[in-house]
Amino acid sequence: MQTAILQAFPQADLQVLIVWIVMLETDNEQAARVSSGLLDDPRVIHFYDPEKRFGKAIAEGLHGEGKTAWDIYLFYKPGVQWVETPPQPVSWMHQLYPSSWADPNYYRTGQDLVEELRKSVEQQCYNRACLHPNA
Amino acid sequence: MISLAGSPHAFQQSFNEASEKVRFLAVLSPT
Repeated sequence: MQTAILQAFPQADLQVLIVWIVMLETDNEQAARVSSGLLDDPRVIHFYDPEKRFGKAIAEGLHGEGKTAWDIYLFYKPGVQWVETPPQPVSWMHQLYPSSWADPNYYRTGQDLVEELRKSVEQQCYNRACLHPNA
Repeated sequence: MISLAGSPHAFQQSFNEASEKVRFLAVLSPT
């Protein structure tokens, strides 16, 4: 993400929200603080979700009732608000195993994920004067 | 900086305050 978005689009006027969720035995607040330090950019705000509240809310909004969304990336267009439930993303992708609840059409890993993230930034920022790619 | 303890209000506030922008949200395991 650091290279796919933040470094590739150093002047893109995005708001980046990272939720560090506790899913694995090794996940905790200290680990979240360490990982957040790896994404050092003024456009990024970090949150910590020990109770999986955000993960469950995101999953529910993507037809995954009762599931938890993680390893997931979502873009929201300007104007939409998060009121009681999350708004629908304009694009999204995930790294969950294809047989999971998440739509396999949005499954991306490795370079495919990087390219999809970059494509989404370009599409969402097109004509919005927020796109100034480094390359 | 991390806003701690599953604070939906703080998250919603940050999300909505930036509503004039494209917002990118990632939910990740820290390890």
